[in-house]
Amino acid sequence: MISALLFYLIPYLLGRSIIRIIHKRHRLFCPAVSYFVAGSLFIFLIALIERYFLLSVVPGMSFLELFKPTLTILLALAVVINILLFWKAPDLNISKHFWPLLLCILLSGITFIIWVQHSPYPLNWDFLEHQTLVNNILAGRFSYFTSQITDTFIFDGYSSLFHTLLASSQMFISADIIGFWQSISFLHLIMVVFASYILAFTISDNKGIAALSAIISASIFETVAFTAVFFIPQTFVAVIFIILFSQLLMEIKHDKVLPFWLVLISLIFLILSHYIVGFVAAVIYFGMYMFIRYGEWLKSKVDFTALIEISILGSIFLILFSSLISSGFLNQGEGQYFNFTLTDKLSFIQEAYGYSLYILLPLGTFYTLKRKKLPEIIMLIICLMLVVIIFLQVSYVLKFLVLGRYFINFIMALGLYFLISKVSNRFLNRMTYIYIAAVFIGIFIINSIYWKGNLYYHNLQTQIAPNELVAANFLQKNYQNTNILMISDPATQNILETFSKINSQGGAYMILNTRQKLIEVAESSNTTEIKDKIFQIKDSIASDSGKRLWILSGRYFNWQKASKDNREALYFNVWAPSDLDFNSQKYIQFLLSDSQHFKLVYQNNTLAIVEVLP
Amino acid sequence: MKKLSTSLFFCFLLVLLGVSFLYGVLVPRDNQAKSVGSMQIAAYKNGLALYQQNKPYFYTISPFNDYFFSKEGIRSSLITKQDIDQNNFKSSFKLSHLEAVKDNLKGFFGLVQPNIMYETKDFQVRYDSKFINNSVSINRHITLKNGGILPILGTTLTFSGADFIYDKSGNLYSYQTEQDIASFEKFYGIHLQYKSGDPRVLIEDKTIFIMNPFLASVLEVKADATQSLYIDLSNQMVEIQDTASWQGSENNSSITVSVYDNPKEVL
Repeated sequence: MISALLFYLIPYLLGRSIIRIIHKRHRLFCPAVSYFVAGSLFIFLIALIERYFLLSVVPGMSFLELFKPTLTILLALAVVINILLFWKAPDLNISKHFWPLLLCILLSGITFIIWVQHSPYPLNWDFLEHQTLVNNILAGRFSYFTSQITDTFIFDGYSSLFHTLLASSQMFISADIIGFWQSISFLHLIMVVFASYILAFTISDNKGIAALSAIISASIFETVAFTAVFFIPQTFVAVIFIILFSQLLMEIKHDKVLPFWLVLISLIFLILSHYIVGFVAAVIYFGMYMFIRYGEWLKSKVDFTALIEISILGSIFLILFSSLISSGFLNQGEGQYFNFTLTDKLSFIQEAYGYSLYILLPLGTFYTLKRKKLPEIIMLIICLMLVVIIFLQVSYVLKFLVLGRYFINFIMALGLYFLISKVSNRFLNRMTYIYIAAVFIGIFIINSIYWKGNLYYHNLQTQIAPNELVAANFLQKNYQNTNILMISDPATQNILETFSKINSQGGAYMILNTRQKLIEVAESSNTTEIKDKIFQIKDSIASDSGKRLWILSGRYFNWQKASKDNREALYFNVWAPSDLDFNSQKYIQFLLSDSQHFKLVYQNNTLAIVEVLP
Repeated sequence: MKKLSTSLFFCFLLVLLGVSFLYGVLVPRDNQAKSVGSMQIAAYKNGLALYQQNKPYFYTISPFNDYFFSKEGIRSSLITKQDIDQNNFKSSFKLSHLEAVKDNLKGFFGLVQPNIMYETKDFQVRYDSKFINNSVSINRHITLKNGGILPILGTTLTFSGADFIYDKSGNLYSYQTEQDIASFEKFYGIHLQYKSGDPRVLIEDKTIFIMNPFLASVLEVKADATQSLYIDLSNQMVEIQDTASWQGSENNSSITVSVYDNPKEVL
């Protein structure tokens, strides 16, 4: 939990020192987010300078040998500056924010308890590859490009900013990986719920609407965007964007304009954190900033009615014809898998929201237009714009729900408030809030049952088996720093590489050539030929010692039973753990009969580890 | 008063809306499952089935296989093929959407155990599951609608053709190759001896083990002292037969299945 807190605290302390020193006069609203953004960029900048400039000047040193002392000194300085200069100027008015914070923590706590029921390990599959990248940074391999740090990343969807922050938080306290990710997921959930509250309150000035927005936000689990319970770059950038956006609105509410340099660093932060989601967030953020600065001029020059009409027609055209865009080329065919039809998308929406979105979004739209408050109308426009993007029949666009959900939930909250505000009896009014919270928590319960339904393993619902963690521990103790290459199915590789820190070819994202070699391995009944195929698998970045560790897990055998197309595809994984059955054990015995090339070094009920000898 | 009635009206409206929000949620296609050791159990069309996720092997307790002997000594399944063909029965398998939503919510709080009920014009049969550690006890409750008694009743559990079916003494009742028998001994330290003979065998020590070579699980099926345990190899079923004791038109009997990770664990 402490290192999870450090993820936010280290950049915050650094950023607070920098901004307070540089920018003494302007008193910011919601300054913590600017401190965090500035501090994050500062850490990333230091890492880049050391990696690309200082390391060439100071030969023989590793990245970590340079980066860790630098960060330690800067952090110590920041702590001193914060204590000495700014102790008496807290950023958060505790008495003002106590109840909203308590509400958000309570809602997040309920959601999180439901989510982790029968699931002691994080269910966020992506955390494994992110942690693998962090492990590599902590081992001294750093680059701006994620794909140059480890071949687990075959596509640079973001810079390594997110991972540099994670590495910074794990650098000082040796973190238990499971504990770290569970803790940071919970902190992230609180941030998501609190961001929804802040956004809604800033726009509406109404605690009821803000509370309803927080309730909806805590309980809606979108199975493609995974905003609330998964801590990954796009969910992280979305929550920071919402707080930055709220800050912009707070400034304008108090007739102030955020300094341009703070806007600029926010834009840089958003884009570096996620090139696609962050870019869209940056466009909305900058658009809002421009509207604040030049809104009056725009109003005199632009016919908004005509603009809205053109937008509606354009949106219909885009939604209808966007299906013509091919996406098979994206991410080794994975793009095709995420190219959902309109019916699919409506089904996803219904899965996440029940009928609440279909009822509350129109009601909220009606209430927004009735209230005629400019900030709410702007929210509605952004909401509808994102809804149009989400419904385009283009690959991956459903992921924009990660941004859209905050605006959608706000409009839904307005719709709900419209009805609740009619309940003037104070007691009944309070009861309706509790009832609505119970309904949305019910929706979340069913969603979590639905999503975890295929993850049964013994008495757990999990993607990770306890035996896999034990095996990873064995690997780490016996093979760390031996440059040995681990080989298995994508899912087993993904888990064991993260926890053992032993390199694999691509983790869950193994390249096509590796997949084809493994398919050939399964088709062969000659142990020498199998050995040769295993040695033809090579990592595209890291060199290896020429030895191979072959992990024959229950998952591996299940994966090998899948169709060839599935085995070659990135989207296919054996998500739930599986133990070794009788036939799998027979195959292992068949390999071990060739003692010249195969040596069993470890076995439990779930997997066997075999050293493959040249 | 007008204010209160308006409040009550909108409260009522919100309650209805809340129910409709929940009703709109998609529910899992399958009924609620529960873990038993390394397997799961859930209600399917044919009865209660034990299985391992994502594997195509099911061990089913079903009224389509459970049987009785009439006073005349004629064996018949509870729901016959003719009943199935003519659709002469009802089952609780297919829940309405509202029931499924309710079931899922109750299931989350541990208030629902897998169960299924069938009804014909002559009787109602209900299977309920009860869990103790890695064992599930499935209770079958029969209510005859038209009186009378069925003197002998049998409860069944299906298995698959590839399974190792063996008893405590190491007698193997299903055919396996010599290499597989040797591998079994090597992996689990249990010596098996193939025992060929009648397709329906009475198991004297009233305990049988079932292991599928494609599943990392072993099932142990035990009969009570008053029951008889048979292996029916031609129909691929374990049968637990007992002299039924009726209380009026009602009869209860149960079958206990324990699930282990591998044969070594059972020893």
